[in-house]
Amino acid sequence: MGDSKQETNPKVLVAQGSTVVRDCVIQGEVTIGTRTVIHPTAQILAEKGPIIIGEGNIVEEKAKIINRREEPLVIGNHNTFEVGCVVEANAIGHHNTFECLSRVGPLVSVGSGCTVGARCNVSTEEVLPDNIVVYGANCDRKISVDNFRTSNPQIDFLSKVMVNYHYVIKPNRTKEGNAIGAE
Amino acid sequence: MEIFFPKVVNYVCTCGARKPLDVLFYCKHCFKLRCGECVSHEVDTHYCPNCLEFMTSPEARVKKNVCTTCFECPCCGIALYSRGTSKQVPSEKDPSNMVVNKAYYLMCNSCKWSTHDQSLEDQPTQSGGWPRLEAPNQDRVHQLCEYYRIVAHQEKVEKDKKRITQKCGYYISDKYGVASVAAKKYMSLQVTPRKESQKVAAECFASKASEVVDDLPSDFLEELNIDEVTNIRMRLSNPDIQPEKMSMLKMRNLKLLTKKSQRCKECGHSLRKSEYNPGSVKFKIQLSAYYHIPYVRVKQVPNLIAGREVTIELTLTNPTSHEVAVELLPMEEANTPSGSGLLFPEVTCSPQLPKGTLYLPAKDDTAEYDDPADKMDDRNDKSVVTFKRLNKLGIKMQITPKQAENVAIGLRLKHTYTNLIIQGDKREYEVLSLIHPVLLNLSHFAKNSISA
Amino acid sequence: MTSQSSLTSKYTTGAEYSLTSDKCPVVLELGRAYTKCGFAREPSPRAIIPSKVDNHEIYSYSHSSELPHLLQDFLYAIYYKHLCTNPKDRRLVVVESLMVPLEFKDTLATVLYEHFEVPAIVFVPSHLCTLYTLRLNTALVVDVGFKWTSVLPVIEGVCNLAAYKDIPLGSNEIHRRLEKFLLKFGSVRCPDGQTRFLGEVNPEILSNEDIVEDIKVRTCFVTPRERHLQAQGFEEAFCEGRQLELPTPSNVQYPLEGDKVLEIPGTLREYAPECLFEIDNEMESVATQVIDALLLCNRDSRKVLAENIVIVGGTAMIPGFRRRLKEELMALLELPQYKKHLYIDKFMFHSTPCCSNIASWLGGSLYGSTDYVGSQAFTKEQFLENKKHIPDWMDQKWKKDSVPGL
Repeated sequence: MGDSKQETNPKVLVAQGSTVVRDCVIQGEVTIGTRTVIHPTAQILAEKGPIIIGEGNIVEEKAKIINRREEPLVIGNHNTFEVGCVVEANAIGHHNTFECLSRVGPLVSVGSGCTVGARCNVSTEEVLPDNIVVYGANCDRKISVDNFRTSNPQIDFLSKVMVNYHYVIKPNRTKEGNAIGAE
Repeated sequence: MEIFFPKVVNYVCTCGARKPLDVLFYCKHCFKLRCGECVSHEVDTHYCPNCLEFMTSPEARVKKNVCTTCFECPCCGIALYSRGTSKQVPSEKDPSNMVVNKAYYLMCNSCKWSTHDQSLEDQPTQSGGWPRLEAPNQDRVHQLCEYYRIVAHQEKVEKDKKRITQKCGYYISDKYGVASVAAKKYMSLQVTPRKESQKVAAECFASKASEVVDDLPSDFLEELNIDEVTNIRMRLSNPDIQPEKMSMLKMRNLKLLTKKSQRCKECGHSLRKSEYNPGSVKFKIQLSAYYHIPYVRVKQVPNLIAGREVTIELTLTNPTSHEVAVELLPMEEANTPSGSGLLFPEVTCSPQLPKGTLYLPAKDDTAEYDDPADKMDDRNDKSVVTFKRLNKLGIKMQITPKQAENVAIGLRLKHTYTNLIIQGDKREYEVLSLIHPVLLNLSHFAKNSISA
Repeated sequence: MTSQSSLTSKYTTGAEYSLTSDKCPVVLELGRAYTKCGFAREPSPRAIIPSKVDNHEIYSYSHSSELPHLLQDFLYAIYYKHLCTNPKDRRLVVVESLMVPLEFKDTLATVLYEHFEVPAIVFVPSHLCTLYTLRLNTALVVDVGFKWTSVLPVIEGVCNLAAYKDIPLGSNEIHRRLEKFLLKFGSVRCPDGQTRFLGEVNPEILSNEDIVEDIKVRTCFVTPRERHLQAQGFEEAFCEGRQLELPTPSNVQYPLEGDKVLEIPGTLREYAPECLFEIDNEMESVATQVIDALLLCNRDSRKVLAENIVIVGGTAMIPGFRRRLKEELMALLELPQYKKHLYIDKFMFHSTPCCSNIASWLGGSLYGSTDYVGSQAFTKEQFLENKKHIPDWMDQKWKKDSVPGL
């Protein structure tokens, strides 16, 4: 929760069209794609290696994305990181949902279309296949038949409304990834 | 302090169970305490936990105790939510024109199971049309049922024919009031099973044995993905089919919950009856002991050390709207052959109870927010009373625990109860004296004070 | 078709009930592991719940004074939560196993009559009930349960108790074997990346019976006899750690507590239920019980019984069980001690119209739909008159009471 004149981390590459509030904590080399919304108090910690976040993701309050390895952590498109989740995965695909207070360990590679339920824990060393739902108190698993591959309609709403209530980091990359003139 | 240690003060119910006052009932007609185990529970109404639709028992019986509109997820057991999708389909009138068609399907919020898993078609309306699950062996069970009913009926008729002779048919004296019963019995012998039942029973065939038995599925050596196999809870929630694969799971209607009412077993009066509307938490009749019997709470207990006398502080609260006179009496001693022992073996030390009566003023709801200008009641023994506030009185007493752990004291609470009797137009007040054994378990405090 | 206890007792039992009440009786089967409860005339129980109160099994009580409270809490949950009905309104049919202790039965009856005020109860033997589902009078009923496997021949509606055989082999044995071998041979991949055996990581986790039961239900199966013979001893292979020469079933990755993955060895999947068929030191197994029960029957009924075998019970639902039982029976026929005495050459099996674990319950439901409940039920007054004891086949009271010639 810094003041409005906080120094922005120079290694953060924010694409045009994304909404990244100043009140979040971003450490290390992070690339954020277009139409991604990062809420205040979210933490994206690229401790050793860089984190590359794709398009259309939502990272909600108190969510933590950590990369403790030297290889880059590539997060795909249209993922949702809900409130309080802690994600340390190897790689994350597209259209995943990490529900509130879920935890994903450092040895897991998450596929696409997965849902890690609220308060569930996936910390084994494995590749989580596509369309798996982890749910329940005992972290049971099942394969989901429905594929919700549409983008989250909340993103449009959030992009417009967040600007009214928070200071937002100015984008320094275009949608394609080219640098905009330095601000 | 009582909020965090609700098991400190236990009243002894008439049946002998030790319960805190807030779960006990007080029967106004027998003037006794009753607990959940000595009252009779009756099912009042049934309601669906999802849509809060309520129905009476006969209606629920017909619907087999399930809600017809709500469904439960076969995977995790919670209610399914209706979600809408819109698809563009060619309209019926003009095939080249694309019309947006709304279709609804049901989905579980926690495990994301949906009706698509069961391969059910989406419904056009939000609330309806989902097929109800039928048991696959329904017809066979019905056949067997009718067959055995006819067999049993025939046996009964044969047995009874030997007892009831033909003479009873034409003249039965009604001197002993058995005419109607005998007539009914005679009529039941004449009853033959309905034609449909007989037809169904005639079709009932005996099962045929065969040498061929169910075999192991041929793919037992192959890779097993544990996520595709159901666990035992999912299988048992659907006893008709008990599916082994997740793809065979079928959703069922949501089970109804019940609202119960309690009734005193001795006098038959209702002790608690809740309102029919499941959304309401109020009661039509509520004879909870909390509103009639003075409540004893433990306020303060210093460090308990074996052999040393300490002073503990209790509070007495009067919940009624009449003044109450309270006396604290020692526990009764049982006349056991092995000498005098206490009726309540869990009591480990006896306190030095204050003598004399204590007077608690009536509960006054209006004075709750006024500044307390409490004058100590002169009738109360000032050496025992620590404070007084509205209808609450604090008292202190000395105890000498024999050991530091497991300290439990017992006392008998004798108090007056003002009963309102309405006889026609007259309203009379009758003052009774009731005694309740109370057990106070101070071991919580011993632990806390040691660790503190 | 009558059951033994109804052989004309001298009580004119609650016949008046059959005229007044039209509500279906409640049918309850208190199994060792699971309790099935529901209403008569229905094809399946309303609920199948574990026979436990707050994780405390109702059949394992340390002192008889605990039992009434356990049963009270358990029956309260059954009546008001699962069945949603008043106990006072309906008669009760209890499908019971023949070997339930008398103390349990009398305490159950006391709690039901005095606390719940049930109007009348009928106790029916579970083996006999099963025959209702098949419309048969004669069959050999094999009940493979949690703790026991019991075999009872029923001839023309009469239970032949002299030929009753049972053996303490059931799901419980399979659980114990799974637990023992998983602790030693089940490898766990821990969150830190290492692989260790379960016994080193967390030996307590398998004391949670639910996890072991889940593993048994989802992964285990009974292997066919010829595979068992070819393997020539799973146990030695396991303990020595060598691979069998046969193709083995695949290992299963079983997620434990979210952060560990247990690898269940493929051979254990088929080895665990082997305990039901291994010949122990007394030359007994589940299969020998069937043959021995046949030998204890009259010669003229043996063939009929062998051609009418019914297998019920939850454990019988393990894939491959029935085939293996049949193969074992055929193999046992070749043994010299049986070949000399038993002149049968084939076994024929019936299949119940429902899953095996609810077959006895369904029988009780069919029984409850008839008028027999009215004429054979035991009311509270009769119970108190009989000194708080339900007449049981063991006390042979029916012999005294039976009216000759009826």
